[in-house]
Amino acid sequence: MHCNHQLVIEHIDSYIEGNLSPEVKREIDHMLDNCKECHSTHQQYLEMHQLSHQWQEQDTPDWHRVKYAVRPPVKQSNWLNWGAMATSTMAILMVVFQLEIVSADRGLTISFGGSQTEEKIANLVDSQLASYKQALDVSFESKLNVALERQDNLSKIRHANWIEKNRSERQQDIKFVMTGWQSQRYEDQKQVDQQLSYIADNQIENNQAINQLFQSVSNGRGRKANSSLRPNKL
Amino acid sequence: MFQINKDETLIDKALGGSERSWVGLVKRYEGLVYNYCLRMTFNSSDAMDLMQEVFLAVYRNLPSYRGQGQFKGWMMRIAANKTTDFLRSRGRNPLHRAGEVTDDSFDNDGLFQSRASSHTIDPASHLAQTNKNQQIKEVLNKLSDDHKQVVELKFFQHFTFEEISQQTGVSVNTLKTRLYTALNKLKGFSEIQNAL
Ligand SMILES: [Zn+2]
Repeated sequence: MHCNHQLVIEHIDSYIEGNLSPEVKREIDHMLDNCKECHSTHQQYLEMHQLSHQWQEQDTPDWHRVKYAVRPPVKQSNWLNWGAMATSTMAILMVVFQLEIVSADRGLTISFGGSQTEEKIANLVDSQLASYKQALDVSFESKLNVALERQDNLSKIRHANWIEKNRSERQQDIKFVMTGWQSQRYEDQKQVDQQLSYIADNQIENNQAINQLFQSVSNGRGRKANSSLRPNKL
Repeated sequence: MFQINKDETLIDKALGGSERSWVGLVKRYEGLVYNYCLRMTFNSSDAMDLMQEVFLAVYRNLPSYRGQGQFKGWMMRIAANKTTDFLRSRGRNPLHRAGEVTDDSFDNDGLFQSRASSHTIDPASHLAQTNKNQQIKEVLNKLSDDHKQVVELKFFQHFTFEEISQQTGVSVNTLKTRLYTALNKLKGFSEIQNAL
């Protein structure tokens, strides 16, 4: 009889697993009895099934699962300098903290050693923050590049997004600080002159950190911002 | 089998940078992949190369894994792609033409021992195992790469036609025809009977 084997091709799986309706099963039975090809294929199926269970699982030879499967090797702990980030975060917190004191009790906080005019101080702060921001950008840029080279595909993008998010947050923080300073400066301008002499005589212990900041600024070294900004304890 | 960490947990941690989770994930599946590679290639050296290719691709594609408990199938799809590439490149490589291929039956002991120096293998049982495995490989090697793959995935990995279709991108109907043809082809060699 003629057979295009289609029925067996289609259903041999289910036939062997016993999942066919009685009607289809009967048809297959008939095919297997009457088509030589289908008959032998069915035999091969059963034998292959049996053979597959005779495979002896081999132990995987030792291999370096990170070195060979994760090329190039990624050293996760190295790509971001957490210390630097903590310091910069701290610096921003301190500046914000000091600014709050300015607005709450401005007479006490602006004690930069008397000789500085408010304008000079503001300029120094501006340039300090700008150079600090630039240094921060550069350092993050280079870290980002290193990270990009080392990371793969989407894990790379993951980290990049993460860095980008942090960086933009940091930039927003700095913008916020600078804007705050500028608006505060105009409001304070008139009162500052009157208060300067009083302020000069009222050094507050609390101002040690911000004094260090402006010392480093007057030394003209923005790079030292990190160390001079680092609080003694926190 | 109870798994302390689900695949998804290990994957998440590995993506977060945990080397240990990645190694844990690899160790969970490397036996499966390695034995698959052994059947798909001629010798343990090729199998190791192919397995490393597979896990390298798994690692690179891990962030795009969106499965819910489908990691094995997802991984085997990568394995299927890598196997196709591997066999194709070997086909082009004159050193690997049929008949010139160095087979495990000749070099296996040296290769296997040197690669698995930390394992101690009972030589007698090892020989018996590799002999049986050798016969299975000889049967599979009668088939074209396409046919070999569908037999492998169906009989040795017990995937459904639908799953194999997802892994290979080949339609269910084509796969069914391929399996029929592959099995039909083997009867001429009566390799299966000899192997059993
Ligand atoms: Zn037929």
